[in-house]
Amino acid sequence: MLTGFLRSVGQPHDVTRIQKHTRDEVLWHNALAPWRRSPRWLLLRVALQTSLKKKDEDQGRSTHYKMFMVLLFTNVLDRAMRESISGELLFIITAKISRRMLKLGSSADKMPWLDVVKLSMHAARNELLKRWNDVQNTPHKKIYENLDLQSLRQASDTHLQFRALCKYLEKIDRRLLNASDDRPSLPTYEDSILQEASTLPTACAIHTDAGSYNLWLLDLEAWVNDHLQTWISLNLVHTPSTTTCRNLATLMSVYFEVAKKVYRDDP
Amino acid sequence: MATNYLINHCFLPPQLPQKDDSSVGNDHMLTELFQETLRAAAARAPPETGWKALISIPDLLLEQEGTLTEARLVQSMGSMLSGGMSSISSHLTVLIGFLGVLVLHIRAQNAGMIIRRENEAYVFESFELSPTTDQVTTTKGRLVRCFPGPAIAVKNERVNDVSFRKAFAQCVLQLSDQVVEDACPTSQKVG
Repeated sequence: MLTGFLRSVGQPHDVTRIQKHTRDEVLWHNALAPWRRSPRWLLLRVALQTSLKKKDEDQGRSTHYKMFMVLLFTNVLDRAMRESISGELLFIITAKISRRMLKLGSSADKMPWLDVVKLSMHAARNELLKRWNDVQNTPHKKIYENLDLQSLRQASDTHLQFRALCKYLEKIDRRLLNASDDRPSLPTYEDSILQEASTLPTACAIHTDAGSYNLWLLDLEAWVNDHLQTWISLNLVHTPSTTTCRNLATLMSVYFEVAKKVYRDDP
Repeated sequence: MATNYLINHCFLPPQLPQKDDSSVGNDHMLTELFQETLRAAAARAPPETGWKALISIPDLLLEQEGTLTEARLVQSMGSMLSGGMSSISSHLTVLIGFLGVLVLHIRAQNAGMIIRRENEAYVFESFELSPTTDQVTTTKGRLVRCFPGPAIAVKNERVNDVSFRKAFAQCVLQLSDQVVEDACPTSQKVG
């Protein structure tokens, strides 16, 4: 309704769109309303990510947004440490921060708040280690009291045979180890097409060598196959604008030019 | 408890709560955390990395969640014009200002709106916030969604006009009073 009101005074506009893999849950147990992930949280992230993406276009794919999220998570971690949250939660938080750092890969070194993140992570790890040591050093009394050592039949209870396992264990020695690599496993082609319905591929990514022509064509065809329909419904059905149409037309003509050269001798 | 809320919504750990825990205060806390981090990011970034230019938050203030009046909305849209920024919150609709952007959270409509200033026009982008219960429960893995939805550009001269801003504010406030059956995700219990 609001959009309808605005449409009467303005015209549809071509905007930077983002695609998010969102996670939400609907949970309820003896409750009136179910638990949902906070809509405000989503709104804030979308607002930031779209704002950053605008200014961030030539600097890779939302690296700044990801860096910001690491800082935000570290902020939550610091709060959790102050309030001595349970070890499980602390572990989950640190694990998720590490995963985000790993995803950032080499660009993590450029993060202005790397030292802050490192400091918090070290503190959290030490805290977890300390708690674990405490648990080990002060075993629970109950465990001893309930143990009835007399009734155990050691010989028959500890002798087990796993025939299937033997074969597996033999194989372990013969297995070749791949050296683990902390770099992101996929090579990134700066110029390849983002396989997302949120952005129209651009023609500027083409280089002069024939190899990249082929790659670009393949990428573009895959994009058309998988995402064109969604893109059209997002950008053209509701809000057709001249720039959108022009961009699409340019892309089509560039594709035709390139395809004519590459596919010339193809029957 | 407050930190637990943040952890649940930011990290989605196992053993999430089994009932609705949304509240005006919790939303406020989440927003505050976000803004605090934005400020920290701008403060820490060395000038040559361009972070400062990316995140400039002059005089950002997050008011207590009160009632958003028509006059406030008109005023804050006006202050966006002159380059300043303000942030207003209300029980139903919340306005958050950062990055030179006004963000509206219209709870009753399950809608978010981002108002952006471009060279010659204001761009109003709107989208649905919580997906429907059906979408969430039937999707395996993650739900892939595109943001924002429809975007409308309105010429500067039009937004400069106070009567336009008044009409827009009226419309927004009216919408925040009406809960639309189809807009907010609901679920029904069986048995």
